[in-house]
Amino acid sequence: MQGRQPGETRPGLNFILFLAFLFLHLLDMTTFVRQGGSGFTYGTAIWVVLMPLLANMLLESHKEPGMVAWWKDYWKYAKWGLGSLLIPVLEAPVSFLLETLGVGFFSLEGIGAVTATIAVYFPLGLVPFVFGEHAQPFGWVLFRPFTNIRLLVGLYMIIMFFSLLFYTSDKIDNTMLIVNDFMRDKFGYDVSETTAERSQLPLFDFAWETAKATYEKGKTGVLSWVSRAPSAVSTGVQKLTGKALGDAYTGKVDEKAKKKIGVYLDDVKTTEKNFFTDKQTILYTHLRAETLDDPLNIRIACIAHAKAASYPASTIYPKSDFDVAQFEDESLDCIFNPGTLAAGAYQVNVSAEFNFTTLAYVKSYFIEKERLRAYRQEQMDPFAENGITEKKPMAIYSNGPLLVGLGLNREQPISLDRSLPEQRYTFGITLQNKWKDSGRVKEVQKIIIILPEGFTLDDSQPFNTQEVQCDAIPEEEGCEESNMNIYEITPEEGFDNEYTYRVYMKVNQQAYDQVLGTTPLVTHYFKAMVSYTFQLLEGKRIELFDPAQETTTATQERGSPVFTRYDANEITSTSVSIVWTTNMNTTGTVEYWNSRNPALVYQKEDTMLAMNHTTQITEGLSPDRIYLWRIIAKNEYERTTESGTKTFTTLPLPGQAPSTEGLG
Amino acid sequence: MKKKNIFSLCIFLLFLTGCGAFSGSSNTIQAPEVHKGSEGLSIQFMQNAPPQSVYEETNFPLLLTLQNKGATDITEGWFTIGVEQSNMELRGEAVQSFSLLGRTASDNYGEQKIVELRGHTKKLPINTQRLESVLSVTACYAYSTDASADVCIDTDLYGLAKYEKACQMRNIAMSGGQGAPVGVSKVDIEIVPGEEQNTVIPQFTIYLENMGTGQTLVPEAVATACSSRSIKSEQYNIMKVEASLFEYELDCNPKLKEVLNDPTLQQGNEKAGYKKLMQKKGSVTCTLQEGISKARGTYTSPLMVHLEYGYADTISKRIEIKKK
Repeated sequence: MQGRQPGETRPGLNFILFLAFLFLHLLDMTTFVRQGGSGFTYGTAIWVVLMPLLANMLLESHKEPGMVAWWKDYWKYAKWGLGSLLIPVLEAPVSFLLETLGVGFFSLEGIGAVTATIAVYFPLGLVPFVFGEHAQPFGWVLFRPFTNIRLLVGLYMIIMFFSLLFYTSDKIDNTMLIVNDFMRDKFGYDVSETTAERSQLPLFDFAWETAKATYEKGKTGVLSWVSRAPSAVSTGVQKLTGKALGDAYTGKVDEKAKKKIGVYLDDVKTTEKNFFTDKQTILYTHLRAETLDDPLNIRIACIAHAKAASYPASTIYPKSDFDVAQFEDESLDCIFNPGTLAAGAYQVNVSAEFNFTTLAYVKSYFIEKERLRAYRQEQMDPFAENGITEKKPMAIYSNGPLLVGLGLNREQPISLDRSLPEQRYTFGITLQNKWKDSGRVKEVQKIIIILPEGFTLDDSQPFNTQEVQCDAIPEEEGCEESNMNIYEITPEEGFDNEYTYRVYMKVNQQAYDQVLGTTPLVTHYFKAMVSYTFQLLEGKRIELFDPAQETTTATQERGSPVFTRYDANEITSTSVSIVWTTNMNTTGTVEYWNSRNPALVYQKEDTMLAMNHTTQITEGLSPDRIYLWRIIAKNEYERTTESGTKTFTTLPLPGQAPSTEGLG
Repeated sequence: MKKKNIFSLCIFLLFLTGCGAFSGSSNTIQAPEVHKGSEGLSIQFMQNAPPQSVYEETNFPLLLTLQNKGATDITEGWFTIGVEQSNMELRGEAVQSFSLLGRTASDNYGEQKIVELRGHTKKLPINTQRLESVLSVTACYAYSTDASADVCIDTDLYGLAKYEKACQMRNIAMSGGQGAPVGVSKVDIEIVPGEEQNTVIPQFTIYLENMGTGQTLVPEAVATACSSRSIKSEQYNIMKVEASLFEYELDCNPKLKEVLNDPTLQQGNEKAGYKKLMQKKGSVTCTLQEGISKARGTYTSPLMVHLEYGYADTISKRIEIKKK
């Protein structure tokens, strides 16, 4: 076989290399597996070390022998690698742009970083391979269509595929949530794990499962996105411009507000992995509540739901009612006493119901009509001329479960024509459950709108409204009847995550001077205050076992060992042989305890890494006793699986009749 | 060879610049120091008054400095302070008139006035931790610009004269302003034949530019501009131009009625021209209709340009109101 000549390129290898990097990069991009403590990432290793190294090995035939020549060639490609490190610098503004677009266009906060990574980092990093000197001659016919421009088109199709995959998820609030969820489901991956633990993940399995899931999600995702595209575009434009289109008005939380006011419940956790009916069942969570003005009354409930019935917790510790004046940070335990719950599966829901008030305001600019026309005709910007930088003010609402969007459906600044006897405007209020993933608005109690002096509500309204006085709003609001008009809207019943109210306002000619003030352009604030009851809900599935009943259900972490068999053999009065097999090499610990004394648990460890295990137990065994036992198997990646609980009964001493316990 | 060429080019450029071939200094307007710069009225908030950040329901100082940094006295000026009334209120007169002397040879700073007011922040809305509110000041005043330059008048239209000419006719470039926000940026000179055979008519195209941050308007609309009252587009970006060559008044065009359809405004001086600026720039043409006798040969004469206008400018400041 004839060897390659200097300068000759091995056909098709750059495409193989491309596939290799595509695979590695997607892995790199979609996981935190590679993240090291020092900040040196798997990605960095790829671009700086692996890429030039592989390029050098696979693409280059050395013109001269020796390390110096090798280093020269290596450096030639390393420059590309180092250059690609500049790309994150490019990524920042693009990320910002996409994040801005993302928030508006797709309503996907936090998408920017991932999309930017896909759109910028990935393809640019591969440009050297696509257009590099070694991309030219391809001997391998099969891969010829993929070269150069076709390859780039292909790349961007992949980008689109991944982008749409991310865009179509409902859980996009956290960029990595999809991946984390997926890893948790498939491999028991926990984001809180340490780097060392994460580095033990079975990467090949992960890659294969990822590819399969990506295909499925992408397939349905693209179709779903296509069907949702028109409304997404419409919503996006609305949110980008901050204007009301159709029925919805939008707003944003004040990003500089430092306190996260509202009520928050952590995920519900259990004190044990398996519960038994003869012991207390305890679930716990963490409650955090903060308010600025309005005191909060929070009522906690814990209910275990089975198929047929629901069971409230016996005790909620420390208490089930909280009156929060400013801040509360409390750990909550839901305790079900023994006997409350029978053996079986339950969905335990912890709910926190609280009253809350969200305030929103939107500023609006008003100008005399002729003056606005003069500005426009003279091509003068009315905002710039009057020192205004926020040209499209968006409603700001206080933090909490409800988004309150406001808007006046007019282009800013709003003109006021002095020649007309009155001017009419529409004021829109959209209520949207922002925390719909974790709770629901149980009831909207009151909607108060506060209009600036000179603005009143028209007589005909689509909703029941009435003028109220300062005493209708909390004292903390600082009400001044002389320069505001306050109205109460009777809320519609049955709030279902989103509702828009539109009310009609007018300004009478007598009030024009009040509204326009003394300056060429005047700013007015329109406010809405919405009082409601919100119910936060966190749930956890648990299973209760009867202590005397054998269980065969193994508690298994994803990606962990699986028991194929576990039995108790060779039972004597003081010894037993436990035999088990797993589907992979594991070590194991046998836990066993007397059914009369479950608190005293004995352990016997088998530290040999193997699939077949046999352990002889003698310690703590007495004749004629029932023992419960289970095995905890651990693989080389520290993944553990618990077997179901089984029992064995030691034999009575020779000549001794079996006891009632022994008879079961 | 290449290096040698580059070196030669550098030396040549050095010579050119050293000789002042690009300077053109002999043709710039010789304005007194007072008539320099592009500032008129300067409005500023004093440092920390108002402060960047202030708590709800507290008073805060509001100190404004008005300084006439231009060369014209302000005899009729107004300023109005705008606050977002939902968030704060002003304690003191929000609209005030003022007058300020301009810079002179003996006072290079111009008159200054400090306006002292107090603001009061209102209570923040419920559950609101902070809020940003804008405070603005708009000042409107009548102002004028005086520019002058020595121009060369050459009556020898076709270059037939055999005598040595006293000067050479050139267009005049100006920059930096004449002690006002609106100034003359350039003057083009052209000599055209007169109606009588032995006369010529000098024609000046005067280029005007608003170099400030505000807007020009008719002086009569100054008070209106600083209010919320109606103002027409015709009243914006307009100015009156008068020019004279030594003691001879020039006829400037266009006239008021050509640019502004407002019967309440009078042409006044019938030789004055009016110009509507577009994109803050414009030009007028001023001619000496009586003409100049060709017998006067070539000579230098002072050209004086006087612009009259109203001016409106705004400054603003964003204040953070925090919860106590």
